[in-house]
Amino acid sequence: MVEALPRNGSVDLAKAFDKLKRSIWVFHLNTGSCNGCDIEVLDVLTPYFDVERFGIKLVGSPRHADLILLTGPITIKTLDKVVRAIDAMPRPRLVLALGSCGVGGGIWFNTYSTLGGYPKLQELLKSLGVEVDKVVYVPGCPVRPEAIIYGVALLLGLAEPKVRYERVEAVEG
Amino acid sequence: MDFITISLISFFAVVSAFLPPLLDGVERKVRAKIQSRIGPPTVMQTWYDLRKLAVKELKMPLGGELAVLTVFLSLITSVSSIAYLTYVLITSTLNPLSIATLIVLITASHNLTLLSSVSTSNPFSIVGSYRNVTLLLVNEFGFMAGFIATLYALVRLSTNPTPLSFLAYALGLAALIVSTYVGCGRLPYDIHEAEPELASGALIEFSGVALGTYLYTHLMMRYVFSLLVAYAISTLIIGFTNALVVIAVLALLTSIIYILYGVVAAMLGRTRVDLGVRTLFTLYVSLTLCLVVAWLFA
Ligand code: SF4
Repeated sequence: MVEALPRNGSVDLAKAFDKLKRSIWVFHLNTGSCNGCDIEVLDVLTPYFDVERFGIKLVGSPRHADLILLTGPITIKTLDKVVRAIDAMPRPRLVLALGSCGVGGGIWFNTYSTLGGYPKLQELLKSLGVEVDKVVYVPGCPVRPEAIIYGVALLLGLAEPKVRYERVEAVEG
Repeated sequence: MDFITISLISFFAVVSAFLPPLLDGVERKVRAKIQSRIGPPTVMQTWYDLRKLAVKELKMPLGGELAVLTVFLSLITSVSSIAYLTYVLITSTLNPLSIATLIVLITASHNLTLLSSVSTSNPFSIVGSYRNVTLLLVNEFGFMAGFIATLYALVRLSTNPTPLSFLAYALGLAALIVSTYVGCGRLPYDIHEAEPELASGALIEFSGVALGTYLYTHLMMRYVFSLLVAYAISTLIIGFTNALVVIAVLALLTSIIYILYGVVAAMLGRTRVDLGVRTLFTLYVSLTLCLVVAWLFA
């Protein structure tokens, strides 16, 4: 997976990704979630789970972040801010799509006011020329703190995936 | 200057360049212990963070070329201040000129980091930086008063050790300790770290190698401040002895003071920045007045 990352200008993405394994800074991005997943994200970052022991640190600016913890189904209201936040990250940029909403929109998968989860956002980002180097989907409503930590380990290649993600389109009507 | 002294200065300067991130790692471990956590996996964590930032993409903020340049200039001045301070301490050449040079180098490094954040086009970065400027304006006064008063008191103590000279030394040292603590940017004066949480401040626009350099410079300045306090204390205890002893004692005491500042920071809470400025101003003015009275009677 690391070898698959190409060079981006002067940045050797594979080398940079390798360095992330010991130090990964995360930025929490709420795209219109019900706050259920956000509370679990906060739980991960507080002393009980103490993710600093894995080299994980919460940062306040996407410019400092390596990984976005994305919660919510991406409402149309937040869309431009979400795109700008992801674009503001230096590469390699990684995304952890959290919760049923982040993974596929949850019960808002096809409402008028949401984009309907990260896969649709990724299509949009691609069309805008914003590259995301790696994504891991962590389902759950809300997502469990242990699952978030496991998701980060998967993202960095520190754990082997047990399931495969397959995208399916909902049949309407 | 003989070869051994030059080698000692070079050795201590290299150690001083490597130590600050390592001490930060130790401090993070200690802080985690106080908060009943495990903390980072190793004391090398800050080095890993810096190494990662060095290879990440540098997203240039709009009109940020000057900002990035000043970050690198700031690193150069902080490295110079460590090297010069080492030279001054080992060769015992503290005189008005060397003190003035030291103060200029240390404040230049601070001011360059501030300049880097006001020269981006991000208004939030500029607003946050001015909060830092206000705090620094007050603190530089306390730092200069404390530093000069402590050194003067040390000279007086070596010739005329009266109780009033001791009192003047204690007052100067108190001002030096408070001002270096604030200068280290520790809680509740950690504006550069607190501001990004409000989406503003000096750091907000930096990424990759620029952010890494900024953070490394910041750690170096913390080390310089701890070194100054270590010098002020060790000189009273051991006096001026041979260079090797000075180096060993300074390195040990600096590390202890660095960690102690971290422990104090772990126990303090955040306050409003305007309250911080007012408190510091009152404290420095009171200490300076007491110092003047002590000198008059000494
Ligand atoms: S997945 Fe569930 S808990 Fe999380 S944001 Fe969506 S509805 Fe809320």
